[in-house]
Amino acid sequence: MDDLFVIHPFPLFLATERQEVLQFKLIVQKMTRGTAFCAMFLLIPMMLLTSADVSLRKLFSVTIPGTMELSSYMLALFILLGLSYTHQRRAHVRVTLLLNLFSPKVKTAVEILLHILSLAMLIVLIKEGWIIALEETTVSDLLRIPENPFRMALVIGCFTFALELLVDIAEGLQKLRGR
Amino acid sequence: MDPILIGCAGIAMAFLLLALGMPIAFALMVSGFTGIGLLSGFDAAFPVAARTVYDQAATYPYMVIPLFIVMGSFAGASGMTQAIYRCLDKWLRLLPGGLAVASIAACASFAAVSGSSVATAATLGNIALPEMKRYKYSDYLSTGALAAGGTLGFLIPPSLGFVVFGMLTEQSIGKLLVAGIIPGILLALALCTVVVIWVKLDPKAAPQSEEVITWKDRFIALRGIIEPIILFAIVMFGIYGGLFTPTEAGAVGATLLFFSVIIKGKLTWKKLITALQEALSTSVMVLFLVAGASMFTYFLALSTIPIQAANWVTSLNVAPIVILLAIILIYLILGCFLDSISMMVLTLPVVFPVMNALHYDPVWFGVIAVLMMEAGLITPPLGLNIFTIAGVSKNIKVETIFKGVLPFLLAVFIVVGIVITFPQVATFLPSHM
Repeated sequence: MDDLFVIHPFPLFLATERQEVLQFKLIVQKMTRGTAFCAMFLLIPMMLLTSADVSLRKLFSVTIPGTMELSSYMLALFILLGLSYTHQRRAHVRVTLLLNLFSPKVKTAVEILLHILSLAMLIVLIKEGWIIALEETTVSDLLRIPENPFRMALVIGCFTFALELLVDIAEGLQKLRGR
Repeated sequence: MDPILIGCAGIAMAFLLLALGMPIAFALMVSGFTGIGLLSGFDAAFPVAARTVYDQAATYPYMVIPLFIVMGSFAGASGMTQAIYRCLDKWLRLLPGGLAVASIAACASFAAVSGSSVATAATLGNIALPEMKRYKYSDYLSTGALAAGGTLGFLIPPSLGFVVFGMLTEQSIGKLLVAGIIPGILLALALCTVVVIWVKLDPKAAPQSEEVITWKDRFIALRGIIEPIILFAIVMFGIYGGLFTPTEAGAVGATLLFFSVIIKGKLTWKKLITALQEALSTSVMVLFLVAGASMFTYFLALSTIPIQAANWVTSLNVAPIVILLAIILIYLILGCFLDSISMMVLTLPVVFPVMNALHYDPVWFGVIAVLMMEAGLITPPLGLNIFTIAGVSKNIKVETIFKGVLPFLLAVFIVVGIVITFPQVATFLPSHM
């Protein structure tokens, strides 16, 4: 009831739209942080496994079977699940020298266009990644671990990345419409 | 349509997208994917895109990137940096501009356990800047020395620069890392010399400290550099002696530092998370860039541009050194606008075949390329290390740092000149591997 007496700075439906984008953004950010959290801790087993393997090999001529293939799989998860987090931290390198010369409106429009192009590229990667992951029958040499679950990391990583871009596009459009 | 024409259009498209502000990895992927589609059909381009990204992410030797980064983070967390700085300060304070000299030497020592120039500049900046401020050093000298000293992280192994160069050119990363040792030491000495000359010419830039340091203090402080020396020795002699691959060396170095931080009781949950986050975002950034570059290189190979460029350059009636100097000039200009890894990713697909066609040693060229990328870290308007130091110092203007770093830039060029004139500086160690 109290809400009826609040004077909104924007018409109510616009405020609702903005809130929806904000909610979507929060959900996407949580997903991204969740995948990144899982990914980054893989570095510890990668590091320990390789060190243990090399130390045992040099000191006792014993190797840990499958160290390389396990590390490769973990590296794939580490990198691919970290794609959207790196975007969230704005750590994917870009040159904004020319972009900064444009007026704020043109800058936003150009950024939206570039986000759409990037999104298209991610859709290609998701679609093809999905097909390849389903068709993949390769198993690792020593431990016979199937490769397709790890190939699916490309799909998950690019999907969360695409959601991050969708948030950026929605926010850009809101900015363009002056909200 | 003519493949070369499509190739040129693809290069133009990549540069247009890049100039508009698209992340470089995407600019390369989008133009590479479109180019492959036009040259071989989109049925071929779709799987190439997905396979390239996965394959780059799952290549075992590339694990060296997060390991080298996390090594630096653990070294920073262990308090090693403070110990290194305190030790070098005690030994070098008597020199003109002693604190600035100690800062550069500490950067070089920290670079021996860290793969990132930004981490080197930021870590040492936090410790050395307040100290130099306390002794009333000029802002130009203190910030310039630290920004330039930070670049050593990119050259002195374990170095991210050589790892990426090796990945892009399929050269031995081990040989490249070892090749960086002598030029790295040479550059550190050159940067220290700049400080000494600067203070000789303008003594007010670095007032001499009145504090008396006994020899006992100096020897006690030596304990601070034992740990990094041992680590560097294990990592580099391991690679040099063929005991480990660079990836294994990175893992051993990171593990030793990890346990050292735990034993010292300095590994908090927050520090661990920060170290892992840093390793994650930097590694993803680099490997996604490399994936984009691979796709773009595949497209360029289809267009035959690298071969045509190499043929054209070798048919020119000019000395190879002229071509090399032209490439160095291009790197200098690009360094003003691009960060070092992007510069490699964008130029090496064309430049490296040209260097090969001119019969230049690839490892030697790698050292020159990395040195030029280092210069790019401190050239205006986009020198990454400048902004790092500006961020650390908080109240010093970016313009001041840019002015302060100019004499140090000269030192980088002198070292490039020495490596060109005496290639053995870079090739001696790797030739004995």
